[in-house]
Amino acid sequence: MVRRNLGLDPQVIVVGDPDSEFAREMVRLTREHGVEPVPCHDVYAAVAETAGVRGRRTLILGKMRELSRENGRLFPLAAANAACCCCLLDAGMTAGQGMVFAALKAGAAVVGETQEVRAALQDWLASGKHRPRRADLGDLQEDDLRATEAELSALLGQQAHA
Amino acid sequence: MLIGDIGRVFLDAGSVDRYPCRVQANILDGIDAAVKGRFDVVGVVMDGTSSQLGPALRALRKSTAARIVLLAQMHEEPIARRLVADVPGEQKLADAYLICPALLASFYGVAQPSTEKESPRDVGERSRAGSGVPQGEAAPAAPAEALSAGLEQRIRHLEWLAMTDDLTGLKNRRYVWEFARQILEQAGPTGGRVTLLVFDIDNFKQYNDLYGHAAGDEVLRQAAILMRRCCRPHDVVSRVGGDEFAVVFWDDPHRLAGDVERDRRSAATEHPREAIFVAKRFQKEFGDADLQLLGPGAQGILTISGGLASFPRDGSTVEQLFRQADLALLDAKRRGKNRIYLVGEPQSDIAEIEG
Repeated sequence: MVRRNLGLDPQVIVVGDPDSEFAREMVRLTREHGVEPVPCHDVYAAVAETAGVRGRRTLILGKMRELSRENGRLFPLAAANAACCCCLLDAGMTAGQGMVFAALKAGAAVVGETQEVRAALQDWLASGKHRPRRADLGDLQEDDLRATEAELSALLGQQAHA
Repeated sequence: MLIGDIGRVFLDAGSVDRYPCRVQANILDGIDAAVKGRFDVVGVVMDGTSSQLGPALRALRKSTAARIVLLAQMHEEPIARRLVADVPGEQKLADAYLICPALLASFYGVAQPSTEKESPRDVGERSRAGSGVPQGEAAPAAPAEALSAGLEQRIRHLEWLAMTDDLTGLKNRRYVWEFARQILEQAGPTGGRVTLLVFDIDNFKQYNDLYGHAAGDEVLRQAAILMRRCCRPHDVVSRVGGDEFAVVFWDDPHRLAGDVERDRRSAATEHPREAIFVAKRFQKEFGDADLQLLGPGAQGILTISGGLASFPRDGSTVEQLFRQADLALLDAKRRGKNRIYLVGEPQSDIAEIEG
């Protein structure tokens, strides 16, 4: 894996209980790509970490349930600090679809499996972006987002709404 | 900087523009601002951030050298007190708290003026804690720290005077009304249970006249101690009149979160069982109390009459609950005293209720 030099070393913030399987997996994945992860126990620590490292490429990895706390304020704050977010949806998560849409609109990557996190991490390291990504999420209309609701519902293990 | 819904805690929140202050509605925005800016004081509204208050304060503490002041509603005071307490080997998550609602001027009194800086010892401790907080200037101010501690003590004392009945040490009428108002505001949306007990000592005036005011005062103190002992730690016991007391029973703040809809239905239909149990226990203990001040044979001669009203069944405001409980109390008096009535149709003597 060759990392392109895009300025300061990239930083990956792994959000979650360090002893959890998820966090350990994310730490392993990050190190596998030659980046030393920064563990943050929760979204509050992640915001503090992101705000404190100006000018450094930052990716925030975590579960949607944690990253969407406090009405999802992490996502616009991360965008304002030029940081990217990658959120893993919890299996069976039945609440917060509005939050998923809000995360997408703020430019976050929302994935359903760990393998997709790997792809998002590789994409970000290579280009400073994550996928899938629209060219201009800021212009997305609610109708556009609703077009993916059936996909998300299937991802979350729910019946698609009529 | 103030973080949270300041309209809930400051009576004059609309005047915040008159103070040198930035307001952030969300704790995450506050943490972000704290890292990027320099603040002398950060006030955090506890309500709304309480579910993750510890982690949020920990991150805020690491982000800023500012003094952190918690803006706590009355029922949050026990939590606030724990968060500002000195624990050996641990860093305090907050430096002070202010009981709300309050005025912005009170906040600035507790927060202290902009001349306050951290002492070199505090700065050193933050470094050892690995906070990464930029080092501030060394504080000159042993005098400023002493002024701060003294002023804070003074404010605490004034708060205590304003909220406490000095004869019994219980909360006073002003406190219990405001507390009940805040609790009912919270209980509505969350399905919380609140029950109000109002009671007085039967024939108290006669005892006062017969045995003297000193004896009467001691009876009131003993009643306060007994009631405090019978209640749960978080229930609010108050003296609201000469020999009249009020107790607010409410959900334990540390209870596990349950289904809100289930709780709401439960609150609307069930008897307030915990409150009935406590009231029965108090009746018995008061009757068994050995009140030697009243002379030989005094045991068993003092009784109480009372009324129990529950939210939301018997009322949805403080005024309604007190009115209903008072009416039940009056009915208990008319029907022979030495009984506590539960508001209902027909009114039930709690002595007849099982459990």
